Amino acid sequence: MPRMASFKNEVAGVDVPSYQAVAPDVERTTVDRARTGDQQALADIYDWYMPRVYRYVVARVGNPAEAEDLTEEVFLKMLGAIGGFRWREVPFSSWIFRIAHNCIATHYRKTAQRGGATSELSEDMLDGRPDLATAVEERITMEEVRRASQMLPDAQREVIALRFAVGLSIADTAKALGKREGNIKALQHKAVAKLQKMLIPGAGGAGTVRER
Amino acid sequence: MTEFETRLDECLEALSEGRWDLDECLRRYPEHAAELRPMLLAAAMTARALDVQPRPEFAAAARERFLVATGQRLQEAMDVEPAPAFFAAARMRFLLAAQRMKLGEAATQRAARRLPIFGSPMRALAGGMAALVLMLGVSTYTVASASAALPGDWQYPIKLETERVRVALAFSDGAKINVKLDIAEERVNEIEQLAKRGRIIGPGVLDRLAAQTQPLIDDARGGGWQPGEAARLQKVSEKQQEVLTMAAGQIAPDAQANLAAVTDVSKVAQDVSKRILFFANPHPPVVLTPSVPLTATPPPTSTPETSPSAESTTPSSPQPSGATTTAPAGGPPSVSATSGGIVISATPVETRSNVRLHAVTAGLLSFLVPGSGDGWKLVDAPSHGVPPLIKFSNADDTSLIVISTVNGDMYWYIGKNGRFDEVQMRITKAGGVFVADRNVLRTAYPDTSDIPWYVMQSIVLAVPATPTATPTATPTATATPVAATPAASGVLTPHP
Repeated sequence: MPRMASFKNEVAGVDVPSYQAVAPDVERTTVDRARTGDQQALADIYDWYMPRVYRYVVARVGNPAEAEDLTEEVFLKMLGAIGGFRWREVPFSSWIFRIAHNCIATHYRKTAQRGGATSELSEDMLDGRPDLATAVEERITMEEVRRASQMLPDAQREVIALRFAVGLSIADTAKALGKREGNIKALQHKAVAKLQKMLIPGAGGAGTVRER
Repeated sequence: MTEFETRLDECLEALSEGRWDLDECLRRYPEHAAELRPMLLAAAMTARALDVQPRPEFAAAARERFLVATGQRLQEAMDVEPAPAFFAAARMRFLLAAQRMKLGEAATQRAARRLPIFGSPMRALAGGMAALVLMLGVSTYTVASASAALPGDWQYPIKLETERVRVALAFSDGAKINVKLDIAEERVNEIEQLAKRGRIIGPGVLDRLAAQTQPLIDDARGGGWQPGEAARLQKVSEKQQEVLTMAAGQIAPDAQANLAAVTDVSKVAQDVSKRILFFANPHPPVVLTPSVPLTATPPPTSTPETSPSAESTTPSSPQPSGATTTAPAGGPPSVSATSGGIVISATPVETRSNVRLHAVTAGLLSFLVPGSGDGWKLVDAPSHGVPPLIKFSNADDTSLIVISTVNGDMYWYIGKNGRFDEVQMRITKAGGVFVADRNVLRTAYPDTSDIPWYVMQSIVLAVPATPTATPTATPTATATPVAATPAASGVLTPHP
């Protein structure tokens, strides 16, 4: 396993955007300007967060067409709500993913459907990284991994989406979901253990730890 | 949580932050390596699988729709129609933005210089629409260059429209207030610039300043303002008055009435902002003058009121008839000269709210103060003569009363945490004597304002013994037994 700087690089071997979309002070001044209606600031926020919100929504709903619609909806909601954003309550990233979370919850209520449609995810959503395969992952396509993640219970999938797809910290994930950090950690354990059982079934290991 | 789970958390966090790689995780916790490895791999694979990118076509179209939506808020706010033109304006903005990126500054400047040619078609559009086209279409350069425009410049209308857009785009009330304050400040900066350049200032310029300030006053009176906003309004209104005074010589002859009107508006703005600040922060870090609004109704200056109201309680009073205990009728109380021309009665002459008040006389001035029994003391008194100011402070020096022997004006300094507020209790102005508002005082200083209030009420300034002495200045025996005693009048310096 090559020494790489980041989580996703462990598999992909490619530099991915940092978890911090932008320096905190820059984000702060930009968000403050956006709150006064500064269009350029709103555009910056959109540019920083859109890919992450999209990743989150895809991780939640699976269906890319739905994900696109929902991503747009998240930003329109954000536009309507940013005037009421307060720094003292949550970090901006937690705030925006809370909106995303609510949009998806509403979406599920409306369609009365849970997840599903995972098969619509396709390889063309990946941006053609050449060294995708490694010794362990060769036999597992990304499609299979995503399908596995779609099989997680909703609460676990949500944590996985915020932690792994978006890159929020445990603390920010907890703030986005309005849960305690311990709760998030427990959900993450369960999810990772389940994923491991599904993806690397022969490895034994930690997947059985909880049953000890 | 088991130890393994703790290690797993630690590794996931470190991996996600890019601090450790997988090997580092396994090296650190060899005892868990066998279990950690598949789990961390599964997590890493999932993270990789979820690292999807939006389709470029979607990303571009969604971005445009979002930016149009930011403009639609503006449209709603300004009630601008029609929508198709709006979309066209948004597209124009993007095209121009692209052009800027490709062609750089020079191209934008050329585009900006062409603007006056477009003048008439733009005026044909609705005002709000023009603002939109200006903001969205003509783009940053023109707006930026217009921001320095002064009344009379060709870009000045653009500047005004841009400001309207800023107000309309501000999402929250607080943001709107700040934008409006920016604009009010800008109006006065413009007048300052005009004056410095020796230009004549016409009625329109002054009216715009008033028109920008008056809504702020109305808004501030409506409530909900933060101290920071009130402080800005105060600063802006002070600057307005300063600049208007400075520019007075360059106001056009037909604009004198406008000048008077805008000066009035500005003063009201200053008063309103001070009032908000006063209530927002009863202990501001700086001395405020005046901090308590003065009521225009003068109190009896020759006869302190002997209040029968409930606030004056005299449980120890030997007299059943009233709330005020007075000195024995028929003669002045025993007096002791404590310092030069300042005479303080040795015994209390009145008790209010359990505070024993002693009579003080200095020159023509007389009043009541709490005595040393209640911890009050005369400070900074000269060894002889009547000083211009008499100062009394309480036991812990947190309350200082200063009274002018010339006109009876009284200031009260209330200290807290090493800071002092200055409160004008009694001020002589052209229109008479003005005193602080009792209710405001009590709201701001509920525990400490009673004593200064009693002192203020008791102030009597005798009319100098001149041929035109009026009978109204004659003190009554009940309330001011020591007013204008012969001893005191002997050391009086005649006041003009």
